[in-house]
Amino acid sequence: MRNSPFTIKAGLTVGLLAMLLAAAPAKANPQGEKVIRLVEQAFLSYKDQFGKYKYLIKNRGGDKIIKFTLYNKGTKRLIKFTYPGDVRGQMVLMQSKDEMYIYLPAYRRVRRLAGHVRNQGFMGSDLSLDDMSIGSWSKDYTTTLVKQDAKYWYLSLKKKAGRNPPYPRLKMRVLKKIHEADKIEYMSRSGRALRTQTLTGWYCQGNSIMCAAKTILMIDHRRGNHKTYLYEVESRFNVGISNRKFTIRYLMRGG
Amino acid sequence: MKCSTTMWTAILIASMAWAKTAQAQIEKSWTVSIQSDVRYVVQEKSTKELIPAADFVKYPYLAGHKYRKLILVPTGFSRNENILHVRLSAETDKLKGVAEVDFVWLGYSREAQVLQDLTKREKLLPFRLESNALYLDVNGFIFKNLDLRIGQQVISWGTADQFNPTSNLNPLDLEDPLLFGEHMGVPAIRMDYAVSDDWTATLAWVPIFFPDNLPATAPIGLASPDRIPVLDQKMRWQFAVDRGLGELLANGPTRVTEANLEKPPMNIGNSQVGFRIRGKIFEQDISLSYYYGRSGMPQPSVSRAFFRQDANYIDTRVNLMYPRMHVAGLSMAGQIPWAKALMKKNPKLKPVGWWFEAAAFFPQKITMGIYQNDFPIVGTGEYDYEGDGVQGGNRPTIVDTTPFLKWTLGFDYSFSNHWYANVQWVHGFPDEFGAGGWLSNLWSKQKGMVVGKSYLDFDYNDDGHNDTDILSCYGSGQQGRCVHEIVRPRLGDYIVGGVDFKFKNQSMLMRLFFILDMSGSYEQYWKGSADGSTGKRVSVWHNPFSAKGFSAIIYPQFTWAVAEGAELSIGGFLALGKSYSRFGDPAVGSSMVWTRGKFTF
Repeated sequence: MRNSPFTIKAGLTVGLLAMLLAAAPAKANPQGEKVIRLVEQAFLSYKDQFGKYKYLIKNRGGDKIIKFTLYNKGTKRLIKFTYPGDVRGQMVLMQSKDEMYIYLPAYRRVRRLAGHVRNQGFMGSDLSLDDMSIGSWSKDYTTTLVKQDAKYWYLSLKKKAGRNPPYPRLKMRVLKKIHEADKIEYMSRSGRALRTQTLTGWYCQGNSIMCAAKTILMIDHRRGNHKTYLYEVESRFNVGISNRKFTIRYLMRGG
Repeated sequence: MKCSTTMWTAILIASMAWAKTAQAQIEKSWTVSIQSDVRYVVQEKSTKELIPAADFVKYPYLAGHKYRKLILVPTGFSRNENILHVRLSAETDKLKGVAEVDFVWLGYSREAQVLQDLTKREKLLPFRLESNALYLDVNGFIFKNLDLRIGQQVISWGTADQFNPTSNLNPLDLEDPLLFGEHMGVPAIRMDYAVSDDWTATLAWVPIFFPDNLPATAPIGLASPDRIPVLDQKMRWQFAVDRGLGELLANGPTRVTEANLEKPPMNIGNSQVGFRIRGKIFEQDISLSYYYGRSGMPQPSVSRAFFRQDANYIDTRVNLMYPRMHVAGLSMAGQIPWAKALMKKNPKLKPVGWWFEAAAFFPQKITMGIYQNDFPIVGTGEYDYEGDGVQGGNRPTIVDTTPFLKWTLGFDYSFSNHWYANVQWVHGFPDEFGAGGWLSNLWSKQKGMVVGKSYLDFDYNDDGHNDTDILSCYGSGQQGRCVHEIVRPRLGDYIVGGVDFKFKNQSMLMRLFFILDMSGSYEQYWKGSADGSTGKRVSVWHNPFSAKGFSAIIYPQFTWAVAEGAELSIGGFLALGKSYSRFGDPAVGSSMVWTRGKFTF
């Protein structure tokens, strides 16, 4: 599914998109593909990003908090955990969808993360490493524009033959103004909702080019509607992050 | 030593000067953890020692055997530690400093022996300090793509889980059996050069050699002279018979009372160096490495035996040395996708993680000189190795120059959010050294074995009655008729596997890991007619699932994350197998239960 819950930015103007969709019939596939590409382009509307985030995992036995720092550049990501103490110093490097590495400070060792780990709930949350990686929906899904209104495009995504994304179907609601999905439903092949992700508190920088949500809520319906909140504490774009931060060499040296 | 100190200082000053330009904002962080460990040994381990009682043991090998029990590992508390771990770091874009210290309060005192000791706090509550990280990093040192790290550090190489034959720059910390061989930090200089985003070349220099930290039970292994790993089996038999005869004359057992270390001099010739290049090919990680230095596991080089008839034992003192070695390594890791047909049936299948790590060792030859002092008949001087009546000759080989390969192949898979499994085949444990085992034998044609147990056996036809005596075997070239050995390959093969089950929102973990020795054991002895006129030496393999060949570690654990950063654990460590087996050996330690509490903030 490769949605990015952390970096939510748009790159094209509303005017351009309006031109593309002006005469769009409600379920025309080409329009759906165009919208999803615009959403993908929104990811690349900045050179790099630095941010601090906080997970709040709602458990019956008590809430759990995880804090981390995020470095983003192109399609690469580095996550450095800062809280709680037992995960402080742990880092996850995402070089691509299939190349992820973890640095475990207790063992002073870098380990490659194979595909089987990446769609598991991360540290007890409802978000997985796949959720944190940057990819493209258009590679894995065919997109149909189901309907639209003044504020949103409503998309339906189905997995392409030969591709194997974690969820066979998605429903996505995209804000027309900023080309960002503010609600995504992850569904089974039969159309059963497995997870729902909602993004709120949008703000934009750089003349509406780079936008982000302050809060993301992920509900896992398979876990009795278990909830994980992700709060943005601080976020800056185009800060000039060095390429070396996204190398295994950086991880091997403990960050 | 002086040379290396000067170099260290020069490099430190250079790196500081280079980094001086980096006056960017300093990012500081700290981590503190408090850990409490309690362990209780539940299984006593003991051995038998010949009773030096003249009335019965006048002719022990003629009349029979009588032994007394020696407790090697008693039951009771074996650890009661409290550890304060502090990690401080400060970094800018250019520079980083890390200081990590463990204060370990041992929780019991072996040193308070006399009344005066009770007046000294340090004797009553002893502690030790450890540091695995105390270093300075300079990024972009001289060249943009060159990073330097100088100071106390661990340089971990390899892709396998825990069993990393290519990682030789740091000594092993085997003091705690539950850690299965962590590495200890040592003063070193390491340089990483980024050839590209994906490829990095590393050069590391450890100026001073540090040996491995052995477990408290390690001297038990050394205390058995029959287990000195003499390569040539005929020479082993000869030693066994001569030792038996000596014990007969001394009217008591052989005891290793001292094991002295021959530590390499602290000069540049004894430095260790390593080079590695690491990168990716077809999205699979790969690295090639080279190491030159010494094995951290000591090998016997000299044995001096003193005949002590007045004390009823033979006093043996052994010297141990650290063999030099060259090691060429290869490490790989990646993921294997499932076949398309399977994926079609079950789209939820995810790629399996895999890793392979292999190291070819080229060891220095080690021989052992044996000296006897005040022995009856032979007197004082070097042992007559050839039995030709002339002292000295070709000393027995402990490690020969035959190259050997250690490797680890592993896979892991997550079945769901709850279940995770990991399995590895390990050829050669970290403490095993020297050619031997099925793979080495392919090219060396030599059965490199280590002795688990050796004793004199005079019952040729296994009818319960002695058919000969020690004098018939002594000096006759017929020693093989009297020596009964249980041996195993120098490099064993092991399956290391485990399963994790996480539940209650991943706050609870049930873990079951095991190590199974797949090598089994070989029982080798003389089998023949009672009069000795016919017969031959036989070798019986006890497979790893038989009572005599079985040896395993089982390591169950339950961990509960009671709060953020805090966890409580309880578990067991079961060392199973006969006393001569890999894990049943008292030198490995004994079965225990343990608890641990840890809070990190």
